[in-house]
Amino acid sequence: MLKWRCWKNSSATNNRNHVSRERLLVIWNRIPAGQAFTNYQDSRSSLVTMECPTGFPQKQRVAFLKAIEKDWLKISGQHPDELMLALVEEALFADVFQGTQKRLALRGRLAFMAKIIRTVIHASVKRIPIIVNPNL
Amino acid sequence: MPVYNIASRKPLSYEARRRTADAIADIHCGLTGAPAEFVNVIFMHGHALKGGYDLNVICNVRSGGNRNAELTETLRRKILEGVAVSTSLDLNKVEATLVGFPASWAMEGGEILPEPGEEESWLARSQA
Repeated sequence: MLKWRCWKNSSATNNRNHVSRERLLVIWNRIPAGQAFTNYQDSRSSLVTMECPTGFPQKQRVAFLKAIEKDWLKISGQHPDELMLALVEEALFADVFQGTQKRLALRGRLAFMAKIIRTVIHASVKRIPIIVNPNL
Repeated sequence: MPVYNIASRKPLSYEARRRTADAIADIHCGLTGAPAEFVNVIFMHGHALKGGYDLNVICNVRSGGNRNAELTETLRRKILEGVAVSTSLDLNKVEATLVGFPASWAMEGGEILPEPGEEESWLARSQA
């Protein structure tokens, strides 16, 4: 939990310094063991996808990604090869986020939204990070 | 990148997930020339999919470089067929869509990802 808090603080600082002064919302997608694979093996990788405004300068993107990478590796102890970071412009970010909902039937979308709302309320009450298990 | 995000109605066994991830890596690397180190496959279950599908794959792949529309559609089709075989599902119960990302928006191994087709020099540099 301490590591999650550390990373939330450092990512908020990096976001403020490099991307936007808007409040940062962090959602953790914790994949259960045996449900992720990289390079023909069970994965130990972390994938971090973040949103930025349209037309975001590449030089700033690289500086931001390097700052995030440095802090992530320091906190997690992971190898650089186990981390993929992406800073994605808002339109594509929305496409990716919505794509996972668009494939669902109405019943699936309702179940998904209910799970997110329950998780957010639980995190808010317990003052813990928002951690989602993607299985419904 | 790529990240293959697979949602199914019912849980797949570990063996089926592993077989599917291997098939995706084989197909993706065979068609695009990308190194397997880049290929991530994530599974989730319990998703009520629309259109009567049992399984849906969203493929987040690098766009541009040596990837034209024909290669992209071939990749989508081969992934669809490969996943159907490895999960023992009917082809018409599986859906696959591709979403293209500019390579320059992502970083792996401490380096901005190479444009498709320029992986060799990127790997040599990042592993030096």
